[in-house]
Amino acid sequence: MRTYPSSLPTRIVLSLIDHALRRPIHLIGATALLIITIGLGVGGVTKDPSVDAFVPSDHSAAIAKRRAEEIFGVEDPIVVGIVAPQGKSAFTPPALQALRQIEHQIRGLANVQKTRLISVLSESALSGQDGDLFVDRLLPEGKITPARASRAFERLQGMPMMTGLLASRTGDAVTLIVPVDNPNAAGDTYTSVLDIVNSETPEGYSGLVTGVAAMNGRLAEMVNHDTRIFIPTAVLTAVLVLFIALRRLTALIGPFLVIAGSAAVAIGMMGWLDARYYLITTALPVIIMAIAIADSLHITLMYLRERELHQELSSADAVHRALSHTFMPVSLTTLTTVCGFAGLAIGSPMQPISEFGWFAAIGVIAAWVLSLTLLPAMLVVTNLQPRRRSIVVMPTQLDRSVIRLTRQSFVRPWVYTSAVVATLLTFTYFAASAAFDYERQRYFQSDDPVRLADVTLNERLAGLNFLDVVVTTPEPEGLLTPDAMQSIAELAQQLKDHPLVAKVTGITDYMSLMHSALTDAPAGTLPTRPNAPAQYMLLYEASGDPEDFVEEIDYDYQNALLRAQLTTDRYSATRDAVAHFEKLVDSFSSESGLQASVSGRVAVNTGWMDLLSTSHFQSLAIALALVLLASLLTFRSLGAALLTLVPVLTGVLFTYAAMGLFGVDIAPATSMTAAIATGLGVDFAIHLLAELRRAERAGAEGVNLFQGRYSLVAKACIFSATALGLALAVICLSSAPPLRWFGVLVATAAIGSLAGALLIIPASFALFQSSTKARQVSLEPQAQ
Amino acid sequence: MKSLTHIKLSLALLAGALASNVAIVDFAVADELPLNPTTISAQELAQRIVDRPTNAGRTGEMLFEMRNKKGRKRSRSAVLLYADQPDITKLSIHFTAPAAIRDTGFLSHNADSGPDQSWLYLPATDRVRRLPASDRGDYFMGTDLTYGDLQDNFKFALDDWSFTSVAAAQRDGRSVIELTGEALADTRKAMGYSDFSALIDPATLFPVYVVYSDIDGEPLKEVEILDQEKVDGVWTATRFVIDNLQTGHRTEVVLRNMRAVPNVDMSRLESSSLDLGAPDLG
Repeated sequence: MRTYPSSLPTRIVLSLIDHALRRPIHLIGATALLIITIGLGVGGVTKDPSVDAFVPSDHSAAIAKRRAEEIFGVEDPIVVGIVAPQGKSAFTPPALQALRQIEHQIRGLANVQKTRLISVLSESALSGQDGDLFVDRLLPEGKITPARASRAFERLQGMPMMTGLLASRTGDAVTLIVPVDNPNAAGDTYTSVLDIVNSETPEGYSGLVTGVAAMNGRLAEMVNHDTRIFIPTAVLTAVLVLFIALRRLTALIGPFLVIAGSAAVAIGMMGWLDARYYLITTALPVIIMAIAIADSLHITLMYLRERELHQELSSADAVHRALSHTFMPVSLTTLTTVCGFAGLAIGSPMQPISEFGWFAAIGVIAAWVLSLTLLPAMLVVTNLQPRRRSIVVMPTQLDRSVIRLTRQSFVRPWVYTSAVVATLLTFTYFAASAAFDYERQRYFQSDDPVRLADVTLNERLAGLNFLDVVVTTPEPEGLLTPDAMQSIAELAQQLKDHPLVAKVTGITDYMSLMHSALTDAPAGTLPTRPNAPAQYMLLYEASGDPEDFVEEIDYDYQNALLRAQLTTDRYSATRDAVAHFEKLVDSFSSESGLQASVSGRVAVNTGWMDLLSTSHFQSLAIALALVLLASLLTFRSLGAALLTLVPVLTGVLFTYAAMGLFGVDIAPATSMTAAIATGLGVDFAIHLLAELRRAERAGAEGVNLFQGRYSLVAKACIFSATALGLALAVICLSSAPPLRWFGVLVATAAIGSLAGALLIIPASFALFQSSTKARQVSLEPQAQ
Repeated sequence: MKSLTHIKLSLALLAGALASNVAIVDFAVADELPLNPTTISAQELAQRIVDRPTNAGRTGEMLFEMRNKKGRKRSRSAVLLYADQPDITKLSIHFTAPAAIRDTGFLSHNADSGPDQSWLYLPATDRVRRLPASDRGDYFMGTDLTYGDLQDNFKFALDDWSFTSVAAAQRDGRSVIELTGEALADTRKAMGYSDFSALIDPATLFPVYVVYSDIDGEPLKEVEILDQEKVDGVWTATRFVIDNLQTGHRTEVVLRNMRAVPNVDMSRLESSSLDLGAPDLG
């Protein structure tokens, strides 16, 4: 005769499970079919490793950037560089010939906008002589001689708007700007360009490939690499931990299927729901597998215990008893973990983070369902028996350590409580130094070719971090007036005055050059005759390419682009700069009669980092509130609910403290750690408190509360935390440093939460009991 | 060194293109039609096209409408004056719209012997200045025509191309002749083309539809003659469009009120009178 817990939901669920377990093979078949069906969605998952994925499409910076792209075609390009050793020139026949070969080969690649490649090979220089205007190719067609190479550099120096972009000021680096059709899907293009550059770069020079499109391409490679490494390594790690915990190969089958099935369901659902696979999503299967281990371990360990203690029980009866004990805590921890991920999803306006939260929650729910269906069915079918040498009932060294630690905490509650408080204060101190920050190159290891290229070209050139200002008039051709040109030039100068800005380029640079050439006016002056700008533009068009000024002024002369090159894209530096530029353009718009808006890559990155910094604590607060609510509903006691949050705070504060101490940026990947740690960290406290509550009902009191099954539960928590930590440590194999930190921080936060739970719960009980003469735990149990 | 302001040669060529259609008798049609694509060789057909006559002394209005791939538009209009004398051709173009470039003037003198000369007058600078020549592959006035296109005047220069095939074809229900050619090795880079495929109107010897490939062999440009009219007895292409297949840019050129001017006032075709504005078409 089976007994059922008093809780109605538990009774209903257990009755259903018992019923299903009468035909365990059917249950296995049904769950397998479900996993396979949903898992087939994996084939429909689309990868999107771009940084732009973090920007909501309706964000003002994203809208401004799209508009600038639409008007001026200024997509994020791939940037190729041929760099001479310091002090040497890249304006030599070998370097320029290599650039020509590279340009020729890149023109043939798919995804490359072959008509829009920009370099010293394609651009022309303006010059004046006796009042006439001349336009000459910087480097004419034909054989590149030392004299021609040298002349090209001389011409370039007469075009200050081109130096710092097409070549360094000293001439020790030349570049090729490669616009691509889709900068967010340039993985193959990046690889091909890199191959071409590596094969064509002459001896003595360095061939470099960078730019946002190249970095996106490299990120795509990293996602592929990480996906190939993560999943098998995480599975192996999980199996290893399970084997250490269960010591039976047959015991691994059920948990393994739960773990793999949960991940398959989560990723499969992504495909069916047309979600994207972002850089941070590579960590998702690992997270789900790590979480799924815990449920399997708790149930399997309890099953083995029942079979060991009651050898007359059938496997189905042992499963029933194990589930009677574990259903509620496993369900509650699932609920709280889902709450943590839901908080992340609800609180973040960034789609990759939000989707991570939702699909992680789906994976956790899948793990719960499979742990209560597939796993029990496998236990019944395999008729899993405990080993002769008990690992469950007989105390092990680990049990003894847990009991010793628990007793110490219970006996010396003030010492342990003080230690935990001191630890929290220390964490808080370091956590205060953690800061929101982002720098494109930090997504790559210090020796990654794309990062080295980025660093080198940013050093040699004026900076490849673009911030754009679009100036607009209401009427076509409205910018072709001397007043408008003067206003734009003044705005350019104001932008240039900012210390982060290395240079600003715009149509006024060309206009002043033409004006000087045609009228012998001093360099830098602009025309003042009413129709002069329009006539100068006609003059240029007369023999120039119709597309020559496409990146400076639009086709009907209604929008002009000022492009600033910043020395860094680091958010901590650009945040104030972008705010300053926004004030400048507001003032410009109100005074000049022209409209201006800030856009460009730096503005977009700054925009979404602003968004992250404002939404981050919102996500964490929602996660904490949901977890607290779940605990409150579980224990129906505010004290107990708050107690469950203490270990959570230990883990959460630890993540911030680590970020502050080691200078890790709070950026998209690392920003998720706190909310995830909230959902994971509360599990241990819930398992331990639930067991204490059961022991209390069974009549135990004082230190005896922590005997018997408490140590088993604590051991299961230790195993699951270890499994979680080890599985998350797999993420440290990532090629992307932020993901490595993500893995480290979540793993250590989970272990920190476990340590907090093991230390603080006995101490809290002792303190609470000493305040009540009865020395009884009065954490009111909910009806079971 | 090449000048930016050398609208000159190109406009001279454009004028040539226009002029060739305007004044003379339609000898080609009268003397040599019908063309039989089964008996004529590609080289012979190209020769017939090259031999289309030109004549001297004409004027008219020209309208340019250019669109980029986003559909944004630029329109310009101008007055053309052309004179073809025994050893020199002279051309002036005076812009009339939009207002900001009104009275901007261009003049070119293309002598049979000696260097070409051209001048530009910009009202904003109050100066007439000489301009050097341009390259064949350069774009003309922001259009999709290169100076080479204009120079060719809807012909295929015999020393630029190797003509590879000729065949009968149909276009819009009319019989035309398909002519193909490949650029000679030493001219393809200068022209910016590697080959062409053209449909020739046998009645007028105009290529009513041409596709050019770039030097990499990829489709670059479509040129289509939309209207042909007889002006003073000579077939004239009065409306044609050029589509750049790689950039999405499009140019449409329309000629209006074209007429022969037997006795051009040659003083209007001197640099000293470039600042006087557009000649009176009346």
